[in-house]
Amino acid sequence: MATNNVNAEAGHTPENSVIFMEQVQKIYKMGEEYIYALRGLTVGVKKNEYVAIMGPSGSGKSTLMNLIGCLDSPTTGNYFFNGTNVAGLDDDDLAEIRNREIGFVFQTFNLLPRSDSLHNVELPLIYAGVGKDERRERALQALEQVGLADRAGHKPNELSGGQRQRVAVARAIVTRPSIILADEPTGNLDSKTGEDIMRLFRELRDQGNTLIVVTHEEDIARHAERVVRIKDGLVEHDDLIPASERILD
Amino acid sequence: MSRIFQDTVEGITMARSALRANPLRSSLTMLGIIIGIVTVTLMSAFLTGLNDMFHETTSFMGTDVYFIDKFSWMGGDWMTQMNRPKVTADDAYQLQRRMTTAKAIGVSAREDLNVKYKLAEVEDVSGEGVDAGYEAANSVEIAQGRFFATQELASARPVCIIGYDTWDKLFHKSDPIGKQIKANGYTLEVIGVAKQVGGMFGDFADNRVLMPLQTLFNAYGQPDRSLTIAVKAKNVMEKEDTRAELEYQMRVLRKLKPQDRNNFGINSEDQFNQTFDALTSVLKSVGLTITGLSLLVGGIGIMNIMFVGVKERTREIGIRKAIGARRRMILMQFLSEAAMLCLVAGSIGIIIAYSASMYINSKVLSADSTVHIHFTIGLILTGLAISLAIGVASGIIPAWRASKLDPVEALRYE
Repeated sequence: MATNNVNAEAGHTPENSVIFMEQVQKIYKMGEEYIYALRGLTVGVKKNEYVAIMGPSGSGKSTLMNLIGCLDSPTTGNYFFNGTNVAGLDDDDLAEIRNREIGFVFQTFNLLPRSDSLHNVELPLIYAGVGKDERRERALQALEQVGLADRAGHKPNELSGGQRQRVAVARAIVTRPSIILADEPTGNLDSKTGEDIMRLFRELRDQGNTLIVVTHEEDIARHAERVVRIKDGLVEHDDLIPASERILD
Repeated sequence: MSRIFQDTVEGITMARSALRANPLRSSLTMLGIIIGIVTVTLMSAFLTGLNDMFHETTSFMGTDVYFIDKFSWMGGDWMTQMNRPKVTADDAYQLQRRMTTAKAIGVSAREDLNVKYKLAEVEDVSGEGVDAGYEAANSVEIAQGRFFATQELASARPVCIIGYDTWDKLFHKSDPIGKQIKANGYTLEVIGVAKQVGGMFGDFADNRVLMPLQTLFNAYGQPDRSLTIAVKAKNVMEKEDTRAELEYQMRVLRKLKPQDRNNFGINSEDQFNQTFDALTSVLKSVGLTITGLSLLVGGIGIMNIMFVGVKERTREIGIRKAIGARRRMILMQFLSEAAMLCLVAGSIGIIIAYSASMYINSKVLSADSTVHIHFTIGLILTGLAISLAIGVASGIIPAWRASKLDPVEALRYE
């Protein structure tokens, strides 16, 4: 039976965590039935933590990721983001948080196919209302950080899978978000390219970013410092990974 | 405020790349709007030209002149009117004595003429025998020479004033004063040329020969002629009073009882105006309805394509929302796309319509035809405004739907 094990490291509170979910439930209505995707889950992530979230399909890990990413709202419970409860916010406010505080990295890259790399990376800044010159500069900086400044004019179909993912990462960091949220970031990449991406993540972590990676692969999870295992809509285990078992480059 | 601007700019960028991505589909979609705009603008321009021409030229008669004639100009039973008593010089004389609200009264009689000068010949020229009052009553303007002198009118001298076209055709714009022409075999000396009238009535007004009334009677006979009496109102503002008095005086002259209908016609330019305006408004309603329908079809086409486009780009909308696009931004972006599509289509339509009007004006309508297709700046702006309106109206529902998509589901969409 899964228990709602409290966090591995004592002392995650809404105040000291970047994100803190408290007794969060997500309930869907399918026809006549109610589906409990999350059953009162509690978890927190502090600044500069590198966390992997693992769980089998049906565990609620995707739902949890959507909630963390403010793509959806909890049915009951609290979600504190940088100390503020965002559980009751409306669509526009959630959009604002997604824009400024969250950097998404998707399994399928999710770049706009008809725009070049620069435009793709600029997009969050466009939505943030940043002026033309400033956002161009910041976008180029982000592309440089991931090593793709020379591919600024290329469209996604002119890039390899690994390059596309790196553009996606550049897009995720361009607004200097509070968290970087990655969903199976290496799922569509070969193992070597996947390693490149994980190395990039480590660099980001070293630069002070907070990383949350949702994955079902042990190899990927072991790049992180801490693993939160979800089962049946609750936290089953929440452990730090001992240094000996971690994958460091 | 600048956010709305940025959203629109992003929308336009999206629109351009979407249009370029699918040029065939974009073109086909725009076709409906293009056809609609072409027909609407051409029709409007044509009606405007027609209107211009008409209103420019009816001043030939003067808005304040009434004509007493045996027949009424617009409609009425021809058979009954045939039996009306003819209008005589005596009627004119009596009116001249009795009318108090007339500035001028003139009399004329008509005859169709074949006119010759040396080897040149013109057929179907309107011959008009006139009196002294005719010049003022009909606002005749003399370009060369002079009007008839009292002496010439009184003694029926064989003199004439020719119209502009007649002068052109007979004398090829050389000096005609003092020369002799033959009208239906009768010799007349030219003493003047009338100023060109042009316009819709140019065919009549510029192709005529004026001579003293008595001269016409001498040359071509008098019996059974019904004259036309032109009465110019004293005061344009009070022309209705003049008309009323005129009708009254004529009825007295004809000894009509109160229940009798007029046995003469009182005609004026207004009748043309009214008939013309009625005609053009019917033309307008019918024409614009039909052309408006094609715009409706075009708009539906746009809406349809937008729905398809939104569906195809569900994933993209999800991505944009995940990156932080608000509902209103997604709405603006898709709305801009529809609007841009329509503006481009409208511009193309206007260019085509303009070119067509140029071509029709120069090739199809003859050089001296007075009808032309009149393109105004106002029309162009209206056409663009209509295109924009259709774009917004057609695009609003698909754009709204797009903005309402749930990001989680949209991202999952294949």
